[in-house]
Amino acid sequence: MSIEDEYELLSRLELFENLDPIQLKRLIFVSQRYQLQAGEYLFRQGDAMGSVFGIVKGQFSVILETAQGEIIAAHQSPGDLVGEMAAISGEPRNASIRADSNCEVIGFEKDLFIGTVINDPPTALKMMQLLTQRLEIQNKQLAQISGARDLE
Amino acid sequence: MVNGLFAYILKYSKRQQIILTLMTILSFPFYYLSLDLPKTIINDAISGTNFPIDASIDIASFSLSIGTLGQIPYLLLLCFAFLLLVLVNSGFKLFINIYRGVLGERMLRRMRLQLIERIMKFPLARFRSTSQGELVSMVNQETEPLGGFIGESISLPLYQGGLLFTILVFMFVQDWKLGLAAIALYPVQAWLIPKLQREVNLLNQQRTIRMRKLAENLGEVVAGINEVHINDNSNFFKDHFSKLLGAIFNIRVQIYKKKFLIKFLNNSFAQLTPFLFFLIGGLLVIRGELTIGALVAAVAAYKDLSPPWKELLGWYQSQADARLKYAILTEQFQIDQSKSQTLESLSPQWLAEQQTLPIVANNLSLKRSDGILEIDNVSLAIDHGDWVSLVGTGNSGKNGLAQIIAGLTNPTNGKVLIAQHDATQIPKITIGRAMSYVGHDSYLFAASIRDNLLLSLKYKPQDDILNNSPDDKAIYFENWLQEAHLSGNSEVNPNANWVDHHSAGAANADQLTERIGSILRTVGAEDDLVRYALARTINPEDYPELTSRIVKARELFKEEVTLQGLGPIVEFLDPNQYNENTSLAENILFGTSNLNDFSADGLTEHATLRPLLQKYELAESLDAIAVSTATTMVELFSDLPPGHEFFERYSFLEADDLIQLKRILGLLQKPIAIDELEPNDKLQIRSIPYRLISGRHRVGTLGDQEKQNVVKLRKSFAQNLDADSRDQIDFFSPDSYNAFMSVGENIIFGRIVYGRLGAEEKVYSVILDVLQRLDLMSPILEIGLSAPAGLAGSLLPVSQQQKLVLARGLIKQPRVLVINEGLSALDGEETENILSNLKREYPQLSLLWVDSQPRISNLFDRFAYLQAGKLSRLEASSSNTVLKTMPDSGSKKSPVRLANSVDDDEKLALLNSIPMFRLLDKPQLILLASNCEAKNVTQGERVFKQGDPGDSLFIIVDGTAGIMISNGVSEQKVRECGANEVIGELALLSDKPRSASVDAITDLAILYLRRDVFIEMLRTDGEIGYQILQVVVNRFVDSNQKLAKLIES
Repeated sequence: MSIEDEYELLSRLELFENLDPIQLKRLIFVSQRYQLQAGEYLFRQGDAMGSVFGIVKGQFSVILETAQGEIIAAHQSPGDLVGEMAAISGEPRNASIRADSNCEVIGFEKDLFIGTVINDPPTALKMMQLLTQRLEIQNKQLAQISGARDLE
Repeated sequence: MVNGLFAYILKYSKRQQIILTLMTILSFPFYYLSLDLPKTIINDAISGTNFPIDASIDIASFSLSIGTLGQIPYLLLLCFAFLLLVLVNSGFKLFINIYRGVLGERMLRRMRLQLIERIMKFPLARFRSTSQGELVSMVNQETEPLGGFIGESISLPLYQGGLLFTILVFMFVQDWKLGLAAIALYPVQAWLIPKLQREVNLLNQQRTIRMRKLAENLGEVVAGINEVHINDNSNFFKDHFSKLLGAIFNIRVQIYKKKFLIKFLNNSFAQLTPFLFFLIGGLLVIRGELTIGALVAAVAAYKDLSPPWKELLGWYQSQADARLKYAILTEQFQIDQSKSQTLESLSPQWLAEQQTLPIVANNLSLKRSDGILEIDNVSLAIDHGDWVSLVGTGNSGKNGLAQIIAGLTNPTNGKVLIAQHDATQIPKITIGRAMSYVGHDSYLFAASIRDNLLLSLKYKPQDDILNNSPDDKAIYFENWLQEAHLSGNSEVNPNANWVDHHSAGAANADQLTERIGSILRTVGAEDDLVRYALARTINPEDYPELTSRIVKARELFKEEVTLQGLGPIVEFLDPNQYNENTSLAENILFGTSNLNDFSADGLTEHATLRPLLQKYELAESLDAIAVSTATTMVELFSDLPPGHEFFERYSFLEADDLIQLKRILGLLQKPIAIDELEPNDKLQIRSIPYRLISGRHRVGTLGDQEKQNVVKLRKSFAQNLDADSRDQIDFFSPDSYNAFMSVGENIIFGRIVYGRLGAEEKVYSVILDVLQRLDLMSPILEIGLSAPAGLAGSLLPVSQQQKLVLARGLIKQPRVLVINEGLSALDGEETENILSNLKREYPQLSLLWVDSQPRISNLFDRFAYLQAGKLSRLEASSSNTVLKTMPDSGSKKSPVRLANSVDDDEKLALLNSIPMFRLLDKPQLILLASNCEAKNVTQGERVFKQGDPGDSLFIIVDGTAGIMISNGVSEQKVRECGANEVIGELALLSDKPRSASVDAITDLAILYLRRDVFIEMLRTDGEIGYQILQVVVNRFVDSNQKLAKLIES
């Protein structure tokens, strides 16, 4: 897949919608491409944080590893971004990401990714908003579950 | 050291001085004869008339008759006799000069070694006031002139004095009045010259002190070079040194003036005497009291008198100088030797017999030279096997206490008892076996890592002392020994083995290597060293056996890689395959070379390669790749500032290159063909493809057919090169070690594929596996160990330096270990790991651990708290919980303060204490603070409600608030917030409604920041944005975990 194709794919991401094309191209250009076989982990829950990944090809499962076993929390597919939370918080990975099929990803190095996002205020704001939305959804889930539990 | 230079000279070189003097005196008759003979040759042989003549040699009362000779044979005889005398004289001179030089040098060697020995015995406190530069200058430069003087110190005055005396006697015999006249001015000189010389001495002393100061300051500037650079102090220090040099210059000028004044006076006096001769002698002759012959003889004799007198005066000057130098040198090296009363009975043998080695420190005090009491009456016991953590701040005295217990510093008062014996009475050799010290300032020498580690085992030569050295070198060693003996130097075979295997618990060198390996594991340095070794390049000639084993290891490595299914992550070097993970240049060369002809640039214009490119139809595709790559690069990167990190990632291009390429691309569009470009431009653009690694750079990739062509090209290129060039290339060959590749690369014999997650680590673990199975770990570790540590260990990262210092301390199997913040560069986890390893592997070891906070309480038996030099608390580890008691956590109910009581300074402090704003600088904080408003909320009131439009962020100044989330049916308190916490920033970022309600559980004082102001700040400053992002994400992670927990239960 050429850089142009990768750009095409990733520029559709909501996070990058305000980003100057040249910035994104540069980020893609200096970033490393990785191939994974089905069943291979991109990273494991609890790993020290590292790169942020953009999915180019294939599908991944987001897995929460709990004492009771694995819980597949979500699936992610081309154009999705993985691992940006840990990159920002500096915390270990909060979930594992496993390839469901043969996959290809772009690994943006943490500093480069953060640098690109932060140095572009509209994108930084976008990032915050996206995260906030996710947090909201999660808080709602939390409220629902605990509320439901209270009713039991 | 011996008081006074002459006492020193006599003490150590009496015999040699006597020999020298005797030889000097012995040479005298021959010298006299050689002066006398020319007269005989001219008078008797050349102008003589009574031939044949009876030739005989008269020496004193002996007479050796040679026979009757004609004029020519007589002349020949005398001439050869003259020649012989000249040779004998020169021989004497040669002998005396060499003997003098050697004698001086020997004394110098002895003196320097004595000084160095003394430096090593200096108490530590001494080094606070004496700099390294000063010591170096004293040992190296100040001793130098002494060596020159010592050779002539006694023989010269004896000889010249004797000469002077003889001539004087001759003169007095001629006429006592004339004799008197000849020495009439000597008393004046003898009175005046020392007076002047004293002034010169004083100046010399000052000069020496200034020179030391210069050396000291120069040493300091080098040590503090960071400060000089960062503060741009170079001009300041230049001026400082200029002043110092100026002062030295002025002193030197004065010395010259005085010194040459003395010379001038001496010369004048010497000429004044003939004046007296002519005046007094003339008068005497005229009056008839003296014959003219006697006057002439006396004047002639005086001529001979002058040189020895001059020599004597010169000697006087230099001895005054040398004595002074010796005095000011030795006064710096005085050490108090009265204390060192050790008991011989406390030998290493005694140590070995001690089952336990308890240490008791009794009433220790340490007063610094400036009078400050660093340690004040501290008593502490470390029982055998005890682990004590000494906790205190930087000025608590913990450093001094650790050094005292380690025996590095002597306490001003009090005693350290080791196994009931006063530590000062235990000889160093015994203490050295029992005690290890790892300080924050411990040092690695500029030697190999291995030598640094083994330093703790090198305290006495183990074997190979001179007398049992091999025969062929015996004579050399014999001389070496003799010479060392004559200079009072170390009489140990220079090749002697100093490493004491036994104190490391090893029977031989192999076991020692194993021991080193296990200790490196204990301190967590083995892995680093193996990696370091794998990254090194070694010369196969130095390691013939190892390199051949490494070549054999390739096979097993390949097998393992295949077996473990890691095939896709390593691309092996195959002569018949294009390698995707190395550059085109390397693919063509298929080898390595340090010749520029075979670098990417060199190959671009290589005369042999160019026609082959045409032949294999690659020339045009490479040009096309060059242009397209250059175009992409220019488009993407040319507006980046030079030095941007993106360039580092693109090793094949620099910021400067882009400017050039942009211009070249412009030329190509004119259109100019690549072949018509200037040679430099042509090279610049054409060399691009050679640097590209297709697996990594993903631009300018060759097609499959082209790759096959490159493989063909590779072969014919090698064949077409001449033999000389071929010799310069180390071709990749499965059967031979490549000297230009690192050890690791030689094992892999391929390239790690780009774009595979964790590929390097996987390959590394396979390598480790292979090394272990082939028993190669030790030799590889040896390679890491043989690497240089650099000056002060500077080639190694600090954390590794510290681990190595600890390893060094452990190798000698100490009974007591003092770690004085010697692992400060390691993080908490690593420190804890290493300490746990220590506890496991050395259960008998006593440890004194110096720290700034109590931690890892499960490993320590006791914590000793030191405060302002006093022991403030001593706690057994079991009662550790006492530590945790906080000073009365506030159950007190004080009324919540009024929000408007918060002034600007407090606002700033408050904002700054919030994690989210931690990294903001002052102007940003001021901006933020000035936009914050304050308000009070009464208990039970709602600050804002879930679903309300969010328009501001809140900071709690005082009181407690509850975050409530409603699911429409019931409301749940998610968490409580207290002072200094930020709430409500979620809704602030998006224009969504509040995601939760906030209630005032107590009365609240809050600050709030309006959304529009906040967004404006985010827009103008990325760093604020980043900080806030982190907070948001942390919240997210937090709630994520809660969610996971809830799901689990």
